[in-house]
Amino acid sequence: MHLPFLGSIAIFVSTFAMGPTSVAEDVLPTIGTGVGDLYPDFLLPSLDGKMGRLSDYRGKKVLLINFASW
Amino acid sequence: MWQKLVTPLVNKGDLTVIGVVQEQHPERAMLYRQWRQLDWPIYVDSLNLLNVSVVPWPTAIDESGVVRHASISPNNLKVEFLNQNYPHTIVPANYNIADQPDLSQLRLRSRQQSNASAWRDLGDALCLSDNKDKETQAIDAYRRAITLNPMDGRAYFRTGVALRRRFESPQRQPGDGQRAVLQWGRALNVNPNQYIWRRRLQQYGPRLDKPYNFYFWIDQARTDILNRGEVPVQLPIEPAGSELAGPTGPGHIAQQIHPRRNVDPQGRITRDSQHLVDLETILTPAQTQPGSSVRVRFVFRLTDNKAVWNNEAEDLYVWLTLSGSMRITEAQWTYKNPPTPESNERRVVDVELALSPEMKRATFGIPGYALYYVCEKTGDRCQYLRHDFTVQLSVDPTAPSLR
Repeated sequence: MHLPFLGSIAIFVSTFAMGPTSVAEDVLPTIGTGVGDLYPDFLLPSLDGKMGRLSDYRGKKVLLINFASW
Repeated sequence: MWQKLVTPLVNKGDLTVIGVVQEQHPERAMLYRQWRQLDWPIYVDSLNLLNVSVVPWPTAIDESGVVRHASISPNNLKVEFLNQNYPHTIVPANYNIADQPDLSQLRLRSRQQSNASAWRDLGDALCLSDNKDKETQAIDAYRRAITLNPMDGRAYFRTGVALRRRFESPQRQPGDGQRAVLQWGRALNVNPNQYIWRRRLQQYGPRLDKPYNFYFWIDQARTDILNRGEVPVQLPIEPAGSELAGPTGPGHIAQQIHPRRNVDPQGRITRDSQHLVDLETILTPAQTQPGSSVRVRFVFRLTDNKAVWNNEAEDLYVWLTLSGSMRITEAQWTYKNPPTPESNERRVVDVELALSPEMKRATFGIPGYALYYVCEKTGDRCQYLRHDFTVQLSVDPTAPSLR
């Protein structure tokens, strides 16, 4: 499923729990920020001006830090 | 602390770190990155699209994109995350992939579905687009979202972000700065627990409500960067006034209130009838509780480059005529001229007022004026001018608290 440019947590609440290693298209893992969820993909501008997605980093162990400069 | 602990793991190739910064002004985050020498990719989420309600918020995500720790300590990263093997989660290739937004499709969807989230999505996409008047279009889309759902806090917050951006752009419209504050206040009214929204208001708000000086680090950052032989990132919008003010407690009276006097009580100075200087006043919060404080920001801009500031004369000066139910807790009153003979910068003067607890719900005007020296570009005529204004103060016992 393609998202406009951001994984909307509210829209993609699934009845599926977590833990499968392989899933059929009709039983997809939840998109969310809780443990076991697929973190919602996003497309945002970087500080260098290029657009980037979280999904660009699939295959790597990622530490995503939400922070502020204030 | 984060940087020290994760850098060796990143250098070994065991870990990828991605930052998402909550910041109205990306250039300030760029300066922060330069100062701290962060070399991770950092994305900017001024609109809070990720719906983050607290920072810092470190999330550990495995190779399949699955959250393994919703909040993890840097000390535990290696044992609890990097040393773990996670099963590969297989999903269709196009599942949970963020697409570049198609504005024409989003417009069509908004009109067809006519629901708040569709219009909000359109507003978000417009904000991130390259459209010349993207803020204006986004503000309209968010307005439609709010019309359909007056409890859409995200639409209020993002309207405020877009208004503030437009306020700081050549496309600014009268009242944009104040409307941004009003929208952020409405967002906070919908969800008073949204920390990021609260911080955006506090950024421009009174010291009474401040947890700390938001940009205390900027001077130190510039010094450290220069000492390294680098050129600090330029900030198109310098933090000023309330953004640099430290917190204070109830009953505090600032020691730095400049002596002032009403230098033109009879109004004899010539009015700026040519409108050489544009003035916008912004009150934060937009509605103030009795017994609370309000920050009044005066933003002066040279209109259409018709004139320049004449710095070989006195500083820009502001006067307010207050009633007995208000007292000044901090004020600049003047904008100090830069050392060059002429300049054309935006000038900001901040005043903070404490309201009496006895005040009732009311909207009233505080009269005042500014005095400044300018030289017209055509004909080089230099003048000393007065600009009268009225600050519209709204007192409301039910206004959301910023604290």
